[in-house]
Amino acid sequence: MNQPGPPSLWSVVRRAVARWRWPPLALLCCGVTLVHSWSSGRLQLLMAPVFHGLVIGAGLALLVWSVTMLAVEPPRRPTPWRAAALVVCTGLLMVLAPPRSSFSTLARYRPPARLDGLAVGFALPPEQRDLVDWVRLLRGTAQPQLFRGEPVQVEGFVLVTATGERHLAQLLVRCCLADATPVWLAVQWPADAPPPQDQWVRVEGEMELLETSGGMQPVVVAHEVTTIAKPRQPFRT
Amino acid sequence: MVLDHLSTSWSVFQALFLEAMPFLLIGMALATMARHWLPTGPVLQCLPDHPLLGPLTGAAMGFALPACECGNVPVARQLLASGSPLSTAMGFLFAAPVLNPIVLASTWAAFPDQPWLLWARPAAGLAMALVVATLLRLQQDAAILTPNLLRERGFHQPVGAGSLLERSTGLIGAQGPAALPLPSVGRGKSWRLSVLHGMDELVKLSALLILGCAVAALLQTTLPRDWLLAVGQAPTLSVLALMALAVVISVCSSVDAFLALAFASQVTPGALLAFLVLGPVIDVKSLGLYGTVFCRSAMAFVALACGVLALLAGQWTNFLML
Repeated sequence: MNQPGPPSLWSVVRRAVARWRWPPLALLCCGVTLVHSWSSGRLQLLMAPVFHGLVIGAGLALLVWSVTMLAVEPPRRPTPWRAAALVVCTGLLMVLAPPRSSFSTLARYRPPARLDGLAVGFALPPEQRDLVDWVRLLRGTAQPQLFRGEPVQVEGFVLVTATGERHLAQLLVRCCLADATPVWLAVQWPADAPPPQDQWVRVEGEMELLETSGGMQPVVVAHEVTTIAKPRQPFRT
Repeated sequence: MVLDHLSTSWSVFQALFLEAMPFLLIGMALATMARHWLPTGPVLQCLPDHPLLGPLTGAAMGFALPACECGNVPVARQLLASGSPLSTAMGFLFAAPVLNPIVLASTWAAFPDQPWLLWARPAAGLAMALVVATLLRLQQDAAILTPNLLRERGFHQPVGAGSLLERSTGLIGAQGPAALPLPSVGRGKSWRLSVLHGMDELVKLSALLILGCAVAALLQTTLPRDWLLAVGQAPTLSVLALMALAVVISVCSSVDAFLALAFASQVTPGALLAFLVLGPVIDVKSLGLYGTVFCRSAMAFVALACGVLALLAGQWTNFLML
């Protein structure tokens, strides 16, 4: 008569793991992830402010729900522990590994953004126009030579295109990074040290019309390039 | 370079997941409330099962739920589990992501200068929901729904409504009992069960959402959009390219019109319409969620049918406008 052997270590571990209260634990992890993404400021790197309230509300609701269930509900079986384990691991990973996107990589193969609906100051003096104002102004005119010699003071990140050109760019985000599209200005960088990809810089110079591979185009001739910190919200909405 | 791609994919994944999770929670909360309060069995079965009225009723229900595709899958699943006619639930599932006030308002806000889109998008979305719901209605529940959903649905359906294999017993043509008996529970106990069920469902859907977001994020950072948009003004290719883009991007239907603005001037009107009609119904992120409702063959059928219908809508639009 065959006697059942001692349970394997793997089956013991699996039984022990399956007894955990996985579903409320997974929701707790999700809630912590959502709230942490807001409290750590990461949400501003990832999505438009109009959605922040939704994420915070959902995070708080998940926290309340999961803590209540952990407090009042006894462990039960079977529970969807594999799915819950995936949610827990993902949540922990999201808390431990912050988003570090390369905007240049993200924007390189995306079409340029349309600028309809964005607030823009056409009447602003040249030195007060930001990058998006300049792009909109130049797109909207048939006579870019009118802006020759005007002073430029703009900020953005360095976008390296697929052909190797370095532009000064900003991302336009309507919802989240998934829909980000770039706008950029061509820049003639100082010959000695063009800034590296993704570096945030302030460029001071003047607008010129120069011969480029695409014909005569408006280009910012940079007189001074200053490295700046990445803004808290590094895109326009 | 590879590290840049990976870290960017990770950021896009986080953005997609954080943006979708609240909608999933809203949908799950509605589904849990529906599970508790919604009359089940005989009352839901009074909803029309007519090939036209059923999906129309479902679409009208979708208008009242301002949620994107992540939110409406759990609600549609709950409708099916509670015994709602297939055509009504399918009408809701496929029309709600397009036919809801937020999506219509965002379309209007993004394209105020293209009024034809304001009626073409909901009309094409409704037509797609009607056709797909009608095609699915022609099949047996057992051929399209997951075994778990079928089991839940069985509690609220007359035994006679199932096939002999589903019933396991019975005579051909014999009238079965009204429905399988549900366990009788008190009011408090019932709430507890509803909440527990909702929690388990949310965990499963979150796991599927994670997988969908991961695939979408990887595709987003490795597949150059320029390639897809390079076909520009070619009538058929541009429609196909924008359909592929819609499936890959997986952005919420309430904001996809703003995204479409970025390439509206580079593509044909038909391609734009196909993007706005297909994206809310079929994308990489939502295919995982559909796995809780449809078996694999049905999911492939739904994806194919929606793709063909979006292509036809795009082609027809190009024929009229180019």
